[in-house]
Amino acid sequence: MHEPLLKLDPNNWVSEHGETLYAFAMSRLKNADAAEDALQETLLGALKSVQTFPPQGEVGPWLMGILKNKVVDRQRRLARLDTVTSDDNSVLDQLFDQNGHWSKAARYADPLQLDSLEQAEFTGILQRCLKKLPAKQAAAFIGREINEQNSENLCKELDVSSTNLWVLMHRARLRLAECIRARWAMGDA
Amino acid sequence: MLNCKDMTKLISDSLERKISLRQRMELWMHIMMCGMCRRFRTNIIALRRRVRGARSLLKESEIPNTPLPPATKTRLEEAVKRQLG
Repeated sequence: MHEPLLKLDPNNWVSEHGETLYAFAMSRLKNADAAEDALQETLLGALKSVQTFPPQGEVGPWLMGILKNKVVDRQRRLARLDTVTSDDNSVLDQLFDQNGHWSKAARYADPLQLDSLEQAEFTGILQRCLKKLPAKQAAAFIGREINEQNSENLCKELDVSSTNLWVLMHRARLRLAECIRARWAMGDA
Repeated sequence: MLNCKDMTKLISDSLERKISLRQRMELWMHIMMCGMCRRFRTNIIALRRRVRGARSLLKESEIPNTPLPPATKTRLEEAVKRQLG
């Protein structure tokens, strides 16, 4: 074993940093198999690139940096499967007629009153509605509105142009407003 | 003249970027006359406000406390050992 590698004590990486790394991977990838794969790639990648370890660095943040790249790679691969235009026209078709005017169904529906929802109700409904969005729309909305990421970084992470990000935000908002309205009207809280 | 579907896009965009003066004027003219687009605008602004208000709650549940499963831990430790030879 190389001398510098020995100092980094790789046999204890999992027990010392595994929990933090795994929680991060799960928060982004939401899937145990994907998280485990990303962690394994991270650990093995780190072993192969000990020379990138900064001289005064700490192992935890270094591993986390590698993991973040692995997670972004994975998200990009997933995002490619779910392109911006892969539609979701069903909701738009229900809301608008062929001329792009609000449909009868939309005009006669009970209007959404977001402010009448209590915090816990709102949070519960929003989470259920986020799960029903196409993955990329959900990622765009969560990134912008919940995690307060700036558009530039978010575009990189999702591998889209800013124009595409605005399209994703528009669709996400239409769908979320409709989903929240429908659940609220059904008394689902 | 934008139809309502395009107008909802412009309304959403206005939350993301600075829209031009001409676009702003068209937006205001439109929502003065169109109750549904006005409602959409009110809704997505309220949605942004509510999401911001619930952010800490949402973030917490976004990152659930997911402990490393023991089996996964073992597999990862073995992978490191194998690699070290």
